[in-house]
Parts: sequence; structure tokens; C-alpha cells
Amino acid sequence: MRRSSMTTAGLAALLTLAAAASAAAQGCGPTRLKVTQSVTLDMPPAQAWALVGNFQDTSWAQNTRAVSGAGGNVPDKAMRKTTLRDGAELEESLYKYNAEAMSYAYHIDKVDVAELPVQNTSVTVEVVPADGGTKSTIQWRAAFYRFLAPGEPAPDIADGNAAKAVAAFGKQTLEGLKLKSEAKT
Amino acid sequence: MRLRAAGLLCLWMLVATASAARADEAYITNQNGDDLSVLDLATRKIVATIKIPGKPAGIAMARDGSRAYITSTNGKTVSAVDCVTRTVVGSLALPDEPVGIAVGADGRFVYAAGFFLGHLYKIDVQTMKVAADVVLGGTPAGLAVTPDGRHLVVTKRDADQLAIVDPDTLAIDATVAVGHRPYGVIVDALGRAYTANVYGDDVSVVDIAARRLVGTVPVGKRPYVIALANGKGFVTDQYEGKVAVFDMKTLQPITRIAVGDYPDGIQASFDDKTVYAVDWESNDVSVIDAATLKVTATIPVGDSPRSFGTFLRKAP
Repeated sequence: MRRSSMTTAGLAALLTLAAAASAAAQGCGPTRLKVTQSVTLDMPPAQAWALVGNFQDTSWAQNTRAVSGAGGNVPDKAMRKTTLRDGAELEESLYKYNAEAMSYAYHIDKVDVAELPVQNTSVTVEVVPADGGTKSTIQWRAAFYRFLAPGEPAPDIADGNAAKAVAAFGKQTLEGLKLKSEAKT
Repeated sequence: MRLRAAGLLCLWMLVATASAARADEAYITNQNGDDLSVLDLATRKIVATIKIPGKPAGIAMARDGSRAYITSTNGKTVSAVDCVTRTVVGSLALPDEPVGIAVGADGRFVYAAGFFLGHLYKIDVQTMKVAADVVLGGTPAGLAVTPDGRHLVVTKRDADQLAIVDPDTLAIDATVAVGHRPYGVIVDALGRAYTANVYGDDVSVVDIAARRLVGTVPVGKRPYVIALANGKGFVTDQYEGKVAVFDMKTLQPITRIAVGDYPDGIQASFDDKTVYAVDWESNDVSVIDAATLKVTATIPVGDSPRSFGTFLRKAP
């Protein structure tokens, strides 16, 4: 009996692994999705950029418990590892950084699909002047693909789930920025 | 009798006027918008919007501009659009999600590839039914037909290969190893195929007759699709928000042009003077002067435009 249950557990693990490997081998899907979240802060753009413009410091993101990384803000070198408040971990790498345009972009290299049912996600964070430059809108824009289960029967549903999860994640990321900005001014 | 003749004359004049008034057009597949923007390239305005369900992505324009064939990924369909009446006149359900699509030289067949099951489908455009299919595997993505109609080339994205297929028999004549994750492909008049390698950040150049890789051009991050104009290659680099330009003879990079965000589809105008890049994230089309290599206009279109394939229609 024990051996049989071991085998079952082993088989289940193997199947999970096989499914994960096969999904990974498939790479991203044919339908790229996008989600934009934003928050407007009562401060000029330069001040807002000082708040969010460091790839290594996401202490402003309310869903983040800890972040550590290396490589500063240098594209193709900078990496960071984030632990979220719910315990999930993310690994991200910076591929674009433009202080003049107050914008940077990074790729999510590793994420638990239970947290976000997506793959090949890239995120752009940008400060856009608002209200004639007296205020700032922080944009958080994600481009991503649904996580592909092999033989996905309902792509629209999978797309919907992926978009919903990313929208919620983006919102959580920006939440608290307003509070933090008000505390600073 | 006279009345009917007058009526016919009126109808003829209407059709003639409508056709004559049309400039070159761009057909833009708005994937998340589930529609097609018809862009007048003279006035740079959207003149029609056609509903295409199922997340339209790929497009192949008939060489005579009579029809456009569109793949819908989530909907697993190929739609035929009459470009004169601007209506959907046919639809084919496939067992898989198609992305890349191309029209054969004589216009009787279109070829579409299913992304997951890996089949290449040869579709009779009169009946809009599958006439033949073959398993390519390796996640086929982009398709192109040589100008002489003798070869169909298909990128096998997850196999890092380019398949060279006989468009009549669907026999796989050769598979050539190219860069990492090839996606868009285009052929030139000399019988060379160029693949944009999404993860390799480069372009592979394949001699189709010799069936071998003859060159590699470094480009920017996440290249997707290639256009050829004025002796140059133009590559959409999605992560850069730029179009990388290279010399087709020397295969050396020339410059990079800032366009909209996440440029995807790209095609040269029929006179080789203009290149149109379709910007997926910023929802617009960047108009590039192929001589000065500058963006001369940015035209807003629908939601998440891609136009992966040939999307320009020549004025009749």
C-alpha cells in the first residue's frame, strides 16, 4: 500500500514536471496581452522620478516585502529578486533605462504561475507629466502572454485570467505610492 | 429598358468612383480590438473598420489587392476579406491557433500555420477549405512565398529552423538552422530569406536555393518582423521601440530609428519609398521615409495592432 501510494505521488510529480516542461518548451503564445495601471501624484515629475526611478529600490510598492539585487540601473546587467508580502518570489532583469524620458523597462525572468498565470512578461515604469507639469502620472505597463497549459482548450478564458491577475498585481504594486508620496511632501 | 440602363450606369459610376478614389491602403489587424482598421495611406486616416472576431493577428494581402486573409489566434480561424466591399466573405475553422499566413504566387491558395499542433495548411481560396496539410512541428510562426512562387519558407520558432517547402506538394525540401527563436520571415528578389530571431537579437540570412545560412546581422532586442526597401532591411525591435536598419549587400547595421512602443508588423510601400511599422503597444503606425530613415508621421489605429504579414494594398 505504502509503495503504491509512493508510486502514485511520484507519478503525479513526474506528470506535473512533464506538463511544466512541455509548457516551457512551448514558450509564449500567439496572443500578446497588455495591461496599464497608473496613479497620479501631487508632485512634479522630477520628484516622482526620484521616488520610483531606481530599479533596485521598490520599497514604494506595497506588495513588496523585500528586494535585493545588483547592477544598479544598467540595462542588461541590473537584476533584482523580490519577495512579495504573500511569500511569492520574482526575479527580474532590467533591459532599458532612460532617466531623461523618466522610463525604464524590465523582464520578469521567474515567477510562480500560481501567482501570475503568465509568461514572457515585460513591464515599463514611466513618469508622465500631468496637469501642466505640476503633477505626475506613474504608469505601470505590462506586456505578457497567458501561461500555456498544453492543449489549452479555451484561449479566451486563459487570456482573461492572465489579464485579471496582472491587472491586480499592477494595482497592488502602485497602491501605497500615493500614501508614500504624501508622507514625503 | 432605359431606366435599367441608367441604373446600371449609376452603379458602374459608383463602383468606379469608389475604386478610383482609393489610394494605397494599410490593413491593420487590431488583435485585442477584434477588428481591422483600413488606413488610407494618402490622407493617413482610417476609412473603414471591419469586425474580425477571435483576436486577429496575421495577414496576407492577395497580390492583386482583391482580398486580405486574416488569421485569428484565439478564434482558430482564417477570414477572407473582400477589399473592394470591405466585408468578410469567407471563413475557415482550423483545429489550431494560426498566426503566420501567406498567399501563393498565383493567388489560388493561401498557406497558414497552426502554432501548437505544428501543421501547415494549404487553403483553397475559392472554397475556403483545407486542400492539403503537412506536419512541420517546432511551432511554425512566420511564412513567406518567393516572388517566383516556387518556394514557401516557414520559421519553426521553437526548433530554431527555417523550413523550405514546395507550395504545390507541401513537400519539405529542406530545414536550415537559423538563429534563436525565429519569428518573422521575408524573401528578397535574389532568393534570400531573412528571419528575425526574437531571442537571438539578430537576423539570419538564408540562401534558399543553396539551402544554407549565409549571414547573420546583429539588431536590437526582441526583433520580430522584417521589411525590405531601397537596398535595406528594416527590423522591428520590440523591446527597443525601434526599427533597426541594415544594408542588404554588406549585412552591416546602419542605424536604429525610434518608432512607437513594441513595433510588430512592418512592410515597405510598393514604390520602396516608405516603410510602415505597426506599433502594438502604442496603438499606432509609424511612417518611415526609406531614404532619410526618419519617421515622418504617426497614425493612431485600433487596440493592439499587429499586421503580422503583408498588409499593404496597392491602389487599383
